[in-house]
Amino acid sequence: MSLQQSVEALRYLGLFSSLDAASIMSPAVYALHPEDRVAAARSLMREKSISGVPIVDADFRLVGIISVSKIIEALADGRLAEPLESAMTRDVVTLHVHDSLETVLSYFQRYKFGRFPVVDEDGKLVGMITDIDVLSAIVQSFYSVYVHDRQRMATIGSFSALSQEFDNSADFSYDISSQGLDHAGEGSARLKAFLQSKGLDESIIRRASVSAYEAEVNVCIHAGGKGSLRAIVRDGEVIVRVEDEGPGIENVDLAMKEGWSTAPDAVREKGFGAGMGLPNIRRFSDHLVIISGKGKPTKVEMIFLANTKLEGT
Amino acid sequence: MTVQEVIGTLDAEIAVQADLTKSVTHGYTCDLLSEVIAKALPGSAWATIQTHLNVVAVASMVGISVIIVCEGRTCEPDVIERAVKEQISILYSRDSAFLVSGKLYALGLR
Repeated sequence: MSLQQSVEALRYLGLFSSLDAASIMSPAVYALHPEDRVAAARSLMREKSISGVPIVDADFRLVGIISVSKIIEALADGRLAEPLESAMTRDVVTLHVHDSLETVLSYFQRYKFGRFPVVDEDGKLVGMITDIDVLSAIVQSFYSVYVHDRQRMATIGSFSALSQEFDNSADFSYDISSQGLDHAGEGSARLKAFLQSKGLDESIIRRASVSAYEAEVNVCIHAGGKGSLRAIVRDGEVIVRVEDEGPGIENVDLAMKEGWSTAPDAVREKGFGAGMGLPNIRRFSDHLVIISGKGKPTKVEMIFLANTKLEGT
Repeated sequence: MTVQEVIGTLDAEIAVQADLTKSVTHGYTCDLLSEVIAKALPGSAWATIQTHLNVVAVASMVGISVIIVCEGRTCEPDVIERAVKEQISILYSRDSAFLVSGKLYALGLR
């Protein structure tokens, strides 16, 4: 899988959609002026352990950059006392504050530089991005996904992608055991009735039962109709877990794509297998975790928060 | 509008008669069940050419008021039985789903 494809797959999970150059960059930047001497850049780089220094004018507009290799050249030619103007690279490849993570990654791939200056609308230098900055931003955005989930906050000490409450018990439990598709959806129908009996809001009942239906149908189409459907209701929120015994999803990224399906023709003729199951679940749930693999059981866990409005309704 | 009024407009045959005074507030036409379950609104009249058991399951899940089976198709007895149990009316129309949708649209359903 290419880097581009990986980033695209991650976008489906909504993980890095808010990452732009402004949130990735290091805002505290060392910069020099064109009239500063090459020697000044050399000592700054050595002192701060950095491999490149942006050059700005009096208004902080970016006019060039000086890298270690340019310093070495200047050193060899005995030009350390000359102004940076004479040694700096003038046509600098810059990123813009609003550039996406994909753009940032593609720059690293295309230009093979170690760092890129980030400029705002006026061309003023506002930060620098190195590969370490990109890595940190990605790690932090993973962390923020979990922080937004209160359940996981509570158990973050012993973190697990799946809710650990299911290890003990569930408020609702149904054994999926369906020959073919005729009885697909019975568990979700019962879940819906159960959620209604709990007096939950119409919207969350619809989102949870529709998502459970899609996951249950998947078990019937792909996993021989054997599995379980469980749910936990807490503080108006619903966690639904659907598990089966395999054969697993070989490529979860592909399975998340609308229209992608491995369902057989007989199933498609019935109006299933249009490749909308997991995308629908993704759309209706607030958090979705899928754990699977070729030849492995599949676990799908969906969390529905109270007060989430369904788009289009 | 009620299921009864939909029947009158479509000149459709009643296959399963549940509560005919049930309110119909929207319409939806599609044969892909995932689309229906994701997008049809509760209280909809649903036009389709699908005739198997899962149609009733989907209608029940969404809260469909009436299923209109188009193109002169009919359901097997087990489907009828399930619809009776779930209390969902099913109509048979000789028209295409396009014509049925047009007639429902003309009634003001969206």
